[in-house]
Amino acid sequence: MNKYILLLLTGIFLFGCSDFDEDFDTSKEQKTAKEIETELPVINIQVNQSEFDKMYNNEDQEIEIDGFFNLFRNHELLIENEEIEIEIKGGFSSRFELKTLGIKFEDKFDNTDRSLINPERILPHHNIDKIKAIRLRNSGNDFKNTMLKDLSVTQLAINAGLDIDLTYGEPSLVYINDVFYGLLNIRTEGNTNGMSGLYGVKKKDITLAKITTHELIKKDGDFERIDAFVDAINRKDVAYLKDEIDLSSFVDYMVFESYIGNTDWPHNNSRFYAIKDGKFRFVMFDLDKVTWLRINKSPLTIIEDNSSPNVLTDLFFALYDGDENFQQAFWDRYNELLSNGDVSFEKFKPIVDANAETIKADIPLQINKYSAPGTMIEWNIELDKTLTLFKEREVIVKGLIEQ
Amino acid sequence: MKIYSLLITISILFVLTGQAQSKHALFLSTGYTYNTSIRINGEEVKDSEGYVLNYGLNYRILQFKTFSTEIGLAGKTIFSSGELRRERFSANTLRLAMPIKFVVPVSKKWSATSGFIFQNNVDISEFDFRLRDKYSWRVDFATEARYTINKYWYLTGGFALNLRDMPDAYFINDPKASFQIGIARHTVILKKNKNKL
Repeated sequence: MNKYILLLLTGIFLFGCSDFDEDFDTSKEQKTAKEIETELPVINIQVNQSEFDKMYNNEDQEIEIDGFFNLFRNHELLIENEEIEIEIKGGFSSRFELKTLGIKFEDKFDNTDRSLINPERILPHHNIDKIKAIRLRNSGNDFKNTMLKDLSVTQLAINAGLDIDLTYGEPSLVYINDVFYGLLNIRTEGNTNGMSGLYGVKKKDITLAKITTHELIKKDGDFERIDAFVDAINRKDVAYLKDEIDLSSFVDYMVFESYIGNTDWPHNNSRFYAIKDGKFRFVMFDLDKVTWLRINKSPLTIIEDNSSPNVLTDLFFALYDGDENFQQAFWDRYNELLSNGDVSFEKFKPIVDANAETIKADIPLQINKYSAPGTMIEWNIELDKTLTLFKEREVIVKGLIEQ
Repeated sequence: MKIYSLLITISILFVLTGQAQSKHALFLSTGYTYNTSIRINGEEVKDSEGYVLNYGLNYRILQFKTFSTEIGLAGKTIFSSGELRRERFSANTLRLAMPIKFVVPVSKKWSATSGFIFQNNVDISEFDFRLRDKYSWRVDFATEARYTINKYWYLTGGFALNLRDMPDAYFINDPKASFQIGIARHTVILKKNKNKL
């Protein structure tokens, strides 16, 4: 019997691993930030190297260091020596070799010329002319895979003109003291800084809370109002909740997140905020784990999320079960978005293709430095999976809704 | 690392030799594996093929007259290659497989088997055995002829084909079809003798 166990353990030891090798030229020449040939914006951050190393090696200690921010587009220096504070950001992904950097400008950065961040499109209710802080994001759970999933799915939501709040972005090459650091996405923030920038209001006017895997964290503003809101969710006070939430935005948010099958949500990666006495709205971010696992699950199963109780699931079902109008509005919006094709595979594929084409030439830099992805063929496989699974998800959701 | 894992497994398997025909058989087979047509991101992958090595243990679970059913546990190593956009690539992959076969004797020396092989189909990079990825497992139909050499040894030759409808991306390093030949040996799994008082 022991031999059976030994055999089984050996089998498990072997369980699933792959190594790829290829002829693709991954030896893209290491050049300085100014010299490198790329379509992407190139950021060069000047810091005290030993301070940076200390911060990098102690990602849990929330160390902030000072530095200077430079940005090139097409070899032209558009931003020069802007004073910044830098911090390692991210949860689980902060343990990766390429870490997400939080960049906070000394003063709000004037982005009216789109020199800092230049997304293809922004929603009509948003403004990115003044930016206090950005993230240089390592793609989170999509690091080593496509490195464009979050960005592409966010662009789909923007192009669909959804009434939601999100983070804008574009891919970039980042250098630290003129040494290549990594391919990172420049993103606006989804926190209080980010929302105050998008709506052109002061930070002190915003009340914001964050839903994480383990807890609800009151971050800024009127904590009593947050407590009252959560109490109303717990006692399923539909009238109070309907009065406190921007319902149109909430429907769009829940429809889109459940449609894309985000499995790192709703128990995590969610924030809600209000400006002054305005209604609560939700912020969509971290879309790295969408259309991957559980693509055959219904929207309600995705939202139900039995694995981890959370206030967002409770809020949704308090309204869904307690208010027929909300339930009707939810499915009407689903039907509308699916029938008009705004969130279809046909709309998603060109976004992914364009983003892939933009970063393709620079993937070898990432392979050389981090083996992430391991090879170009692995990157192509992950892109293919992303598109194929998205297409399947659309068909599955349409089928489920027709039923 | 993988070659060491493979050698360790084979060594363990062949230590388990016995002296009489039993319910158990250790097997080792190898062959050619291929995809007839496969596309990644709309581009055709040319020459998507490779070699496959299977090694493991079969266990006879049911015997009905001359028919029997076997279940097994096996390692599967695939050395695959191909070409995408004029760039050659190669991959080696390890999978854990569980064959379930129905064995029909045809003559004294020959028998035929057919059945299914269940295996994991994606790398398990997270400690999550819930297999939530829709395509995290695959099932092949397998058919095989067996020639008995003597009471210990028999030869095998057969064909396996994936049955699940899956995106092509999942077949790059583990192609859909394979032809294999192999050898197997009946074994006895040793048990401790109980003292009779």
